[in-house]
Amino acid sequence: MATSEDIRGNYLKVNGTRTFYDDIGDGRPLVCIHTAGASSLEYRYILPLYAEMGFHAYALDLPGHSRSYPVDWKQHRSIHEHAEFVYAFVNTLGLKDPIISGCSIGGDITFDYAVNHWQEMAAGIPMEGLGRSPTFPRPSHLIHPAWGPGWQDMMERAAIESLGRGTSDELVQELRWQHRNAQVSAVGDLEGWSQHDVLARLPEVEKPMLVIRGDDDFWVPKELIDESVAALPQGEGLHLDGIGHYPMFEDAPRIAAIVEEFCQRHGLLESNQAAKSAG
Amino acid sequence: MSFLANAALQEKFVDALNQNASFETQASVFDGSIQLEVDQDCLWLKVYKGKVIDHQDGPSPFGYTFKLAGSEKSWQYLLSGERMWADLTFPGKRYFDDDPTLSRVGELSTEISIEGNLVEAGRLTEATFELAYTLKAVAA
Repeated sequence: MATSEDIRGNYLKVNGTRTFYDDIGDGRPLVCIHTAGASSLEYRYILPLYAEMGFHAYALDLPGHSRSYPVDWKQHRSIHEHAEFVYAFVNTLGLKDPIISGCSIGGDITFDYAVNHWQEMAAGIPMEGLGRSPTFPRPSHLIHPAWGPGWQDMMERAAIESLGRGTSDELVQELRWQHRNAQVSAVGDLEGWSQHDVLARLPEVEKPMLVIRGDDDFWVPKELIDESVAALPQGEGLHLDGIGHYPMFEDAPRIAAIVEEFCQRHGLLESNQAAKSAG
Repeated sequence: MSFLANAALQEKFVDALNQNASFETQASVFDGSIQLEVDQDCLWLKVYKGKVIDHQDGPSPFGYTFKLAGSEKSWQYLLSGERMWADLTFPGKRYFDDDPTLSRVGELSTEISIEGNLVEAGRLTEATFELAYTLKAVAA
């Protein structure tokens, strides 16, 4: 059974930018995208489970986050910039027909990626992301510590309070730590979230899209999830009880099982039983 | 009258806040006042170096550094545990039971507002979370 310690850490240059990513497994590529102000660490519980299921799972640090440098020393300020960077990451690695899955801004990035590059992806699995997400004001001023001296605490509280209500204290502390040192990049991420709107283009996406939302996540209105799903030709919506804004971090086995079932149903992953029989 | 008009609760709340070590740490470099408003009721707290050194029922002639204001219904979301303090105070409309056509997507309303010196309020973000959850614990 693979564990977090089996994950490999790697660097590569994406359009000239030093970029970090984790990977594990062998099989269909599944690219995971983290939330605002955080990093690939959010996927450390679920990546080994994806590998066990037959995926080659990747999780990158978006530019300006954790061990990835920002592009030209400036943080991205739109979801589209992030999505195009992920597309370049996929192409730099030469990944064919990947499944793209992100959470929060990563979910928005998945939507943006899908409307622009759906022909080159197998499926999308956005979690806690939307076709449009004008759910709070553009937070540009918070990038200046003198203007928003409480921003660090706000960011950490915004993260941990939206976890599922039953989340353990240990996971709460881990997630809080993952959102530290996010003064600059998280502002750009959330500027992107507040301005993101690809809703009108979702009907163009001719690939399966599984849109996941935790019922304890107050940042993502249920109604806007339903709106996004309704606009997708092959959209499926799933609302999960007891889950908040970080599904893959809060309950990795449950989310991995959902992803496995979705991928098997769409012919994107051999069933474990079939794989064992073939072996 | 709202729950905040209860004098015994006010005393209990101030005592609990002064025993909250996290609040004391987060407000230890603060010399100002925080006013709580629930409908027409008001509790003024004078905070100095992490302790509430004075309080009164109703506004003070000295004014306040910042205030936390909302309706009884809004505060009850906190006290009941139905909503978190971040959800109640960070701007943005996130519930659409009253707007099934989603015509108000993007509206920047807050359930409980923070008004006054917002730089000081921002600096005391963590202290304000501690204050809110102390009130919730006392009022439960």
